[in-house]
Amino acid sequence: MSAVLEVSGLTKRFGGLAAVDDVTFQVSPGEHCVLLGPNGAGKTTLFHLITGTFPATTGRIALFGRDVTTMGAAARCRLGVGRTFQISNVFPTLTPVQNVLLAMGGGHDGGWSLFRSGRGDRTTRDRAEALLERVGIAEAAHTETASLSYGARRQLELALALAGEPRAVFLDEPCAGLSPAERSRVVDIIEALPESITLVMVEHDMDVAFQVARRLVVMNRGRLIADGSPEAVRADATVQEVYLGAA
Amino acid sequence: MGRLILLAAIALALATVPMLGNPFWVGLTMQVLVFGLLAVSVDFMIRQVGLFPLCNGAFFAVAAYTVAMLETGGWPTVAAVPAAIAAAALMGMAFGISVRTGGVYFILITLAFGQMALSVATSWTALTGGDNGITNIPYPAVAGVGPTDLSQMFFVVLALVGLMVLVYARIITSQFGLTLNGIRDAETRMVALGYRTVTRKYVAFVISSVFAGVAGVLYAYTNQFVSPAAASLLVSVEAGLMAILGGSGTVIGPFLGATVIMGIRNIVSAMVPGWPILMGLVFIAVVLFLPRGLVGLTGRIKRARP
Repeated sequence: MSAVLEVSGLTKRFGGLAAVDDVTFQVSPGEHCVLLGPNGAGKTTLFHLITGTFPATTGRIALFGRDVTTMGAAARCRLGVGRTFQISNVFPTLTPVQNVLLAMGGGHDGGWSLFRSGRGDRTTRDRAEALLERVGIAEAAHTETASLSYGARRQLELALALAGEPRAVFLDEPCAGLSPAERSRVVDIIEALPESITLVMVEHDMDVAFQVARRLVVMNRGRLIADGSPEAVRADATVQEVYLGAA
Repeated sequence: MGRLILLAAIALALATVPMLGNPFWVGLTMQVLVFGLLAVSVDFMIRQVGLFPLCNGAFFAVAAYTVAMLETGGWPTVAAVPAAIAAAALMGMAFGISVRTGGVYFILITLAFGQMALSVATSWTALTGGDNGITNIPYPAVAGVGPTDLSQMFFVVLALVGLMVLVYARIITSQFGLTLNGIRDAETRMVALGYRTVTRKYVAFVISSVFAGVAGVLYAYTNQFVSPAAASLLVSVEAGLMAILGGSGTVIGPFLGATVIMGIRNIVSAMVPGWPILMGLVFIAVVLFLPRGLVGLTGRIKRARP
């Protein structure tokens, strides 16, 4: 089976700065891969290139064996990718249930009916509520999203990434700014993802990264500096230098 | 369900207006209904999609002119009305390219489209009668049956506006309506979920043009006269003001806004010479103190009670 994600020779320049510099790696089906690196390493830029927020300067990106280098963000998502944003990007005036209903229809660009009710049928609503239960915000399912706490909105963000039954989920620092309790809840949800779902996650917190990852890809100054199992990366001299300083 | 009862009650109350026996009130209420429907078409874009159009007056005018030309040219109503609505929809499809922009750029590009339509109305005199407009538009008639006086016409308008309101209420609570609200709230998220957001905004824009077109059709029949005034920027702006005054994205809001503006223009203007100033003051007060419009006021009153 072909790789879920294939990045080859990928470079993104902002003026003279190469934020992502000749990056090549692959993610196989079912892998739980975490992109780790200090602030400014280029992780989030790489994430944006993969999800299609902006185009690459050079290089090639393939999702599920299809070249998506010039494809728009929405079309990439319709291939079966669920994603989160680093800063929560949810629908503030709608309820969490409506948020999830929208997320469930996005994968096939659905919801075109002018006459069928936007409340969805019984089974769809049940599925939406079950997902909110899973991410831990079931009790707020029918309140206005704008009134949710920061942590609850992060959890909803995760629900939106999972709602469309994606084949792969791309998460951008899903634990950023969460309390320890909320953080462990999010980590639990991620760890409980079925084997069939491929995970690519950007993280700069070492603890979260080592907890979730079965494979770690470490970046620094736009380049990949290490790639391997958490144990191997932990023992890697270059990684230690980047994270702990040359001392 | 409660809302349906409320709408039915309002429709019943309005149905008593012709019994007052004063054609002034009948005419004014008809105007409120017609311009309220135009305001609904603008409100749809503002509150459901998050875009402020300044060209709905053009859809309104093209439909009104089409009815005027066809009816005075001897076409039957059953042909003139669909042709007029189709004309508005076609114009909506053409102007719909505006949705590729957003914010201020959307306002400006729709303003430019609207002004183009106005200049066609004033300068293509062979077709539109120029500044003289088109007069003597007959009342609508289907197979020889139709309203013969003002109060009968009033009931036709009330029934058709009521029908459009029901259709509108259905659309904004539909699956499609929900996706529009998603675009309004967070378009980048909708894109990241896989939605073709520009296509959806385009469809919404065309729906808006159809509602404006229906309002234009009713305007031509009730006014029995169409001139470039129907295509002026003021029509688009006032429809936007009605939508904002009424507020809250409800079905009733735009009609409340239309009541206030039409009321000031037709009643207060007779008593006070500087009535546009009063209109401006009302508008400023609502925007500053009632950001959710007049409909939002009821929520405030409810909350103020212990």
